[in-house]
Amino acid sequence: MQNAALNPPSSPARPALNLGRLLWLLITLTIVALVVSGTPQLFQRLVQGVDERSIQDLGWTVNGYAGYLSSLNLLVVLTHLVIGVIVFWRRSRDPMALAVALALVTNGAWLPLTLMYGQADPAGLPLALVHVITYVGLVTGIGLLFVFPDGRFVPTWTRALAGGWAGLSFLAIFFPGTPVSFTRWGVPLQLLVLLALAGAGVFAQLFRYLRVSSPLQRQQTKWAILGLTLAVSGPFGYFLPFVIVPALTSPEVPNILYQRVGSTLFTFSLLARLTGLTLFHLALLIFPISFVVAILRYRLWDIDALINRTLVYAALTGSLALIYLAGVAALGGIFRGLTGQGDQLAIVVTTLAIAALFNPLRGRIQNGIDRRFYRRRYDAARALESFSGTARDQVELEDLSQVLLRVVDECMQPVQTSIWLRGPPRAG
Amino acid sequence: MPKSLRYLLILLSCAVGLAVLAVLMMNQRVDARLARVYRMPSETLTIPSDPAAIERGEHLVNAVYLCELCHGEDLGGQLQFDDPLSGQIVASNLTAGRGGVGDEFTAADWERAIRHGLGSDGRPLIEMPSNTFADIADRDLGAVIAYLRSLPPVDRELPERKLGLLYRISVLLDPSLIPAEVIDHSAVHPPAPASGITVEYGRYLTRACTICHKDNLAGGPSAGAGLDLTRAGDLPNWTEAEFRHALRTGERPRGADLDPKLMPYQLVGKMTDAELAAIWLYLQTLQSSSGEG
Repeated sequence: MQNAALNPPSSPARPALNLGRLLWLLITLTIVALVVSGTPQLFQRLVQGVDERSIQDLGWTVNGYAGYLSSLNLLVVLTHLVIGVIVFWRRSRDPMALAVALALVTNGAWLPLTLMYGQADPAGLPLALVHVITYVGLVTGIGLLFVFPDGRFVPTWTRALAGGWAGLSFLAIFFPGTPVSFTRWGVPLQLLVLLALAGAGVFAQLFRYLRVSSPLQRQQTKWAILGLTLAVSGPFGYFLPFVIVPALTSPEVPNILYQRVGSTLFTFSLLARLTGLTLFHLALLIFPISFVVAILRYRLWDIDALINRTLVYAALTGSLALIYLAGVAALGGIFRGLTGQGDQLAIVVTTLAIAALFNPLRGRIQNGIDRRFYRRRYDAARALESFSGTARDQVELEDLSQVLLRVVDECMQPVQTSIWLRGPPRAG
Repeated sequence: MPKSLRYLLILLSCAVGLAVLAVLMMNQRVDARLARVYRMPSETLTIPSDPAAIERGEHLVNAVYLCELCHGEDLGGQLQFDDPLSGQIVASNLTAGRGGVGDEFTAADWERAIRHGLGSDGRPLIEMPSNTFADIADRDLGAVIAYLRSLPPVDRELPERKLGLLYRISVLLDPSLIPAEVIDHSAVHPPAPASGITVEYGRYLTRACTICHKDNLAGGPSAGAGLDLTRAGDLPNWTEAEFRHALRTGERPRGADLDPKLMPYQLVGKMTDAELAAIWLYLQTLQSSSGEG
């Protein structure tokens, strides 16, 4: 597929592009710094904000609970960051790719950072930086719906909507106390505005998809559009968190009430909150994942090779880590039961198993991803493999030619195929 | 669409439909139970107004019935739990301030709420552990009401109680969460046992303890449940002095100190020496839940 399909009609001047790239770098580095310093704070808040009795009644530990939710938070940030960094690294000269990279890093970060710094000093620098990141995330998330993939506002009236949203968000985030601030409009009106905005964004993308985009652009962007459409939930999550984001912490009920009502209510409540938070975090991953699918399956921006590698090695690392942890735990238990002590032995055996598994597992994961996203390449590889076997056994030139034609047809799917064979040299 | 997917969708739709139906039926059933109006025979309760009675009421409210654990230190009420799935659990403002019931409750209303678990409209209260307080003697109830009426007003308007899905399920599973349904409303209230170091008086004083330590005072399996106070627990290894010291300071003779969030020793410790001695005497008579000891 040709990749020029998504190039914008005119690129901005080089200084503007460089400024954009610098801005992306600054924002991304700030996000990394804030996440690194904010994760321990979030962990502490989670430890203190959960009813220890419910955790004990479920047979868990408070640290395990806090670790799980912190990891979910990190997963969201890291997934967005990795995809955003790859897009930026390979295509930062393409303004639309740069905008998507900015939307990816900021949209992946604003919710986790708000959870981390939501109770920080209102006049402090960290919260101010979180506000800037949130603002960029909310504006780019919605803005992309109006301009993706060619950078033009389609339909043209969406330009006014995007400008209005940028202004509304600015006042709401940086000056929430002012009378005109969006946050003071009352929930029904806020809901109405957000629904109208989301509806306009989805309409714009559908309009573009059906009326403006070429068949090639449709192929390349349909997955990305899915992600962008889901990104409209961002403003709902920020301005109306009680609608879709379960509370991270809950006040501790007096023990007399806990005992009187019974633990079931409170443990179920905790489980429901945990399930809601897990689903919400997983839903946030749809945004970057849909871009990954668009890049891998339809070679959006032609950076699929790098994404492919990232995906393979991320899956490989995750699988090996799981196998290692499960192996150490299971073998440790078995060896302890047999010999009374066996942690060291379990670690050695599991490490050896991991070393032995590395290459076969990588091959399998690579195969799986190729099969899923590179069907043609996968089928072609299998056809060539089969042909090499046939070629070894086939001695009749005519038959071999037929097989070769069929293989070329399967792999390349050309309009027409023919073979020229060089004849034997003429005597004399 | 593949057949298997179609069947799966039909199955899922049926499951969702059934779940919605079940929730609607459950809502209707719980609402009907909470809407039932109980007619109580009007009791003639004398509310004293002398300082000694008010002082006695204050002691009972603070040290024996532990009302502030739910209604707050100033008894001005509080939102105890707020969760979209579970609902809002609210302990009322008991004072005469704005949002409080103190100004509008008659003696009969107080009696209905404390002993019968009913609101002034005769409908069940669900957070009030009235099944625990149903056998409070008239004299003590009068003193409690006299003290509650004397409270300085606290202006605190609280949200309405809201029952979420999980709370409704809990109510269905545990009938005692609507105390009015398990209380014998026609029972005669015997006079309070004579104050003194007796087993009977000790038992009378431990009514609030049964909320966490359970009816047999043997504790419970859930986290934060009270310790086993029967002979099967650790108490036989304590002396009376150690028991009194633990309830006053939270320091146990052995092991970790009592957790004030779980065991309100700072309130229970306000009981007099004679009251604690009566409780100690009563605890000595408790067999373990299995009958041993």
